[in-house]
Amino acid sequence: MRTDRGNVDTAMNVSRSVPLRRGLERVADRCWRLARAVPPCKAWRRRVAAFGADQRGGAMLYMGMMALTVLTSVGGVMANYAWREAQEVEIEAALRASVSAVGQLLDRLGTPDSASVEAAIKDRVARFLDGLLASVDVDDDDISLSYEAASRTTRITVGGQATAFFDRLFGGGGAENATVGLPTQTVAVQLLSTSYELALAVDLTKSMLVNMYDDDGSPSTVSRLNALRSAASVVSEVVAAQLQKDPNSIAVAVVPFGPTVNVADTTGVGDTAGKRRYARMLIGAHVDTDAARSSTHHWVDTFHAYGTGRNMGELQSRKLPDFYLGSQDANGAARSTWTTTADWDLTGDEDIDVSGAAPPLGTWSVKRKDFWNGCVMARWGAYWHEDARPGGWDPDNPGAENWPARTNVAEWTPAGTRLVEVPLHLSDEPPAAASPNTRFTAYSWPDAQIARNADGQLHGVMVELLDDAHRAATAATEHTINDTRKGHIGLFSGYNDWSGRNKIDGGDGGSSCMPQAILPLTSSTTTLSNAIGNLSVERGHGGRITHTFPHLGIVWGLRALSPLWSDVWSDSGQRPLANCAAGETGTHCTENLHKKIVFISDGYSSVYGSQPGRIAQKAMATRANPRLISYTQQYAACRILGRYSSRYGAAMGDTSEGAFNNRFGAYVDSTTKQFTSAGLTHLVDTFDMVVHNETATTAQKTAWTTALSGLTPWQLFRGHGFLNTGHAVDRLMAANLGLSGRPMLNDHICRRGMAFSPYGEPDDLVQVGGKPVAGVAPFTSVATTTNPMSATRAKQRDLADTWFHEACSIAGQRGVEIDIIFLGNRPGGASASRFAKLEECVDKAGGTANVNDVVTAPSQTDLRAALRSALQVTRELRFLES
Amino acid sequence: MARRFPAPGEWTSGVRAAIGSASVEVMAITPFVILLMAALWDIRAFTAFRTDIAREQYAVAELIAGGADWANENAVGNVVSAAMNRLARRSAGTMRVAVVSRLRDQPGVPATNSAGQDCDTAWDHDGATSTPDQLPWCEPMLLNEIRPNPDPNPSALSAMWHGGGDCAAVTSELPANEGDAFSSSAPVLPQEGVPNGGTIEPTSAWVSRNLQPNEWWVVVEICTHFGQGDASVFTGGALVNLGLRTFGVPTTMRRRVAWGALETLGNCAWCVPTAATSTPP
Repeated sequence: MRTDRGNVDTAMNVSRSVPLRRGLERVADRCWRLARAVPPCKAWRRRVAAFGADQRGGAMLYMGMMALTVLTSVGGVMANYAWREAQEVEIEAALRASVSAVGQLLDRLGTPDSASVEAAIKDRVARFLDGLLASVDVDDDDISLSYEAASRTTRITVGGQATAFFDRLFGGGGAENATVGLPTQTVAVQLLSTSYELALAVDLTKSMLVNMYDDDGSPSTVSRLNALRSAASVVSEVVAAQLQKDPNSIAVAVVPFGPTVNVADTTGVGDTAGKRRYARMLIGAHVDTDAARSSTHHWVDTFHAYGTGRNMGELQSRKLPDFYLGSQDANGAARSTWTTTADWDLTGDEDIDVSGAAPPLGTWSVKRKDFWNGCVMARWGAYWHEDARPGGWDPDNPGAENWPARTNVAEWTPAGTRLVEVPLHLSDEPPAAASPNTRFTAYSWPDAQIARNADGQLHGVMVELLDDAHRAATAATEHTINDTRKGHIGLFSGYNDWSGRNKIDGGDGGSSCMPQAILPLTSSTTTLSNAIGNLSVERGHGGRITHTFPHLGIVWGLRALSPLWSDVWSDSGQRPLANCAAGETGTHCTENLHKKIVFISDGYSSVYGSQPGRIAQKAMATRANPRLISYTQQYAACRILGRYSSRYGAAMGDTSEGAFNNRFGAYVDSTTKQFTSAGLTHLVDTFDMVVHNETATTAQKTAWTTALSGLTPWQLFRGHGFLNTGHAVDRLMAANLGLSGRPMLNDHICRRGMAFSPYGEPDDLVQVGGKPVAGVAPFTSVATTTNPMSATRAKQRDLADTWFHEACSIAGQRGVEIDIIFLGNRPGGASASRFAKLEECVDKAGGTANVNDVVTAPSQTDLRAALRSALQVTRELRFLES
Repeated sequence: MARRFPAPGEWTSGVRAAIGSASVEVMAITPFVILLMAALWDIRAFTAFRTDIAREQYAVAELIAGGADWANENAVGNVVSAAMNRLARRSAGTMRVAVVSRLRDQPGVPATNSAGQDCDTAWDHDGATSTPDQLPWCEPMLLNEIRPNPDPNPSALSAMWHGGGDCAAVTSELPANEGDAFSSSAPVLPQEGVPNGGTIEPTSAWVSRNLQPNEWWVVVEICTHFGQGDASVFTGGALVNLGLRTFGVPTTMRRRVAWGALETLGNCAWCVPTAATSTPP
């Protein structure tokens, strides 16, 4: 007998595998039993059974057909809905594209020719829509437009007609080619003019004098420097064009860099912004009063705490002669304000008399032009000022302090740009008088206008002592000076003496100080044009290049753009601006502000072994024409010296106190290493010969002997160490030996000495008033037997590369974009990896990895195009919720 | 004797076990319902896919409208890559993205028309005065083609994914090479010159023929063959494809869109492929 259950079984058996069928049978059987057991289910069971047994089938047929119909209808509606949705999205996308295509016209809404602009916008939107979409017909009349000047928002509403396939099928039309009304759509759009603050960081090292290429790739007669100068017109044009669109849309700073940067322009006549900044940095106020002068608002310390010219008395921090940025004029008359041209003459020939300074500096004077020319040392972050020393700091046993110091720097607006634990010397931490370790130290190297011939005199004395052939054999016996060696002593005359020049290499004192100061952000096309048109390379000496520190361009570019520095750059402190926070208004912020460093260079980090001197290099350098010599020349010079005096040559390479002192054999005590009695006698005689041509009296010699007793050769000739009575050099000066200046000794002239950079020389420790506080020098030398200068140079170059990338990364954290324009072709071979450092910089600042970000500009035309592009203020269409 | 229609219960089909015809009908109808539902699903997915294409274009729009780094990098290339990857989920197809302008703004290489006239220099056309009064006629040209990164098929004219499907046989309507101009009758916008029930516009009235010299557009040409990608939505579009093929309707969907840029060509470093500027990805 067929059962309903069996019927179900039959149905279930269709195309089922056996195990599955059995499983289902078991399930069905259980269900069936359950249905039979539960009363309410019994009725349903009967109905289902009857339904299944019903052989009439009509209801099912109708139901099936109805289901098909319903499903088709519902599905059709769904499909139509989806189709319409797709159509609407397409129309909206097309509408946005059309509005985008009229973006430049939007900029002219709200101007007197608004009516014609509106008509042009409508026409273009209509044509663009028609051109983009099939079966859409939009006329100018179908478009309406409104403009809200306050928010610079434009609303464009589009209607029109369209044919719609599914609408035709499902009641939207009916006739072939029927049209339906387009769903009205409105696009609201804001045309935002991006504001830019840009810093042009320009490499002005000597290599900028190399010529560019012509457009056809042949060598040009135009130097990179001149190409850059002539590009001033491009900068002016672009800036002027942008300002015409929006008066506040762009401001540009110019940051010349090389081995240093100059932060205050001391040139020019009378009262200038640069001089006011100079004054503010030194004494905290641009109009001097005694009250301001005694305040603690200055940002630059004038310690000359490098080399060995450390304690500079009146020239030391803020202890400026009264008439220099002071309350007296050059004639000693009191003044309350700076009003005359002479008052503002910071580069004149007036002397700053330091003869009465304590400790004594000699009977000479420093001219204004030789004082400070606006360049600063890198901010090493140690305790330049004694007020900043940590409690318990022992100056005679400094230990390892903080190099490089790290710091947190306040965020810019918008939030999220706070710098955490970044190296202080690379950060945009603003200088603050109350935080001495944020202040800067004046950089003015070479300072041998102060040293004059003192270094040469000291080296002359040293070579005599070391070259005394009889000294070792006869122990503590004093010997007369050999006439032949007198000639050797004369070799050193003029060493490191730059005073023979009225202005070093035509410059203004500190020759490694960049001649041009940073031009803070300005929108003045005239000022920009003048600044770029008058760019000049670093001075250097005798054509010798010094270091290139690209990171200084990035670091100071960032500082030129940092809103935290607004008080540094100008009296009013208006720029750099910040982005306005939500709801914020005011003159110190603006909306949609972008900041960018445009880095223009023809090279990479490089550290040269150049150093001042004319040791055995008379053919190259004379007293009237001091110059740098390269490290290879220097190395050669030392070999020449070695021929004259092997002991001197060897001692010049010593870097340890013990080894150096031991060179003096019996002239120093075997335990204390201080000069013995015989050593002192010979030392004094030598001073007499070198400095006074053997005319000193017995009384003078006695006084000198007393003054120099207790000194070791390391302290005397290398200028290291403090004594109970002051610094070793102070003792030397106090001895009143008649030296022609204050020695600025170079420690390692034969192996590691090189041009003094903002980071000092190799192995220079961070100093406080002449006392080292850092256990590790920023630059450390490499001791090799082959060519230590070359190895040291390579090591320092790598360190500079690291700083370069750290600086780029910090700029990126600040949201500052970096564009790099490389003046030359993309190099191959060995230079490719150096070039990659530039690419890496852009990437670290937010560029795209593996994309060639650096723009190469081998020709003048390329440079102009690259600059034009980099300076371009872009606008942005922001689509709003309508 | 007249044949009598069987009374209820008398109908027998010869099968001894009387199976309910309703069950048979259910079984008979169900496949059609399923097929119908699948077809509807495919249609829904198909239309949604069309929506997707439109939406992908928003990303390009956002870039062109603002935020792109004109000077340094080609962000459009990245967006194109992302869009292509999304489309590849349920389609095969091809894509070309090009910068179109009337001017070849390349240092030292002014664009000229066939008459040798500089495209951005006004000329005296009316002859009435010596004052330049009109820009020379220059056809829009394909300045630079932007390929996705990575390009799945760099040797093909168009970027192609999943072999392109039926789109592989479809010829791109954009000029083949950088520096080539559109022919005189070739539209840059896809529907230029197509009548919407009215008179066909003369070519000279086309908006693409009235580009300002320094104006530039990004033109995106997409061809998709639905259902041949990675997707497995129901029938994976097979029914739609079947239906379209049955009725002779092309199985490919072609779209071309264009976005005008705010900035002038001279400000866009990656718009023109030149050694002096950055290389597009």
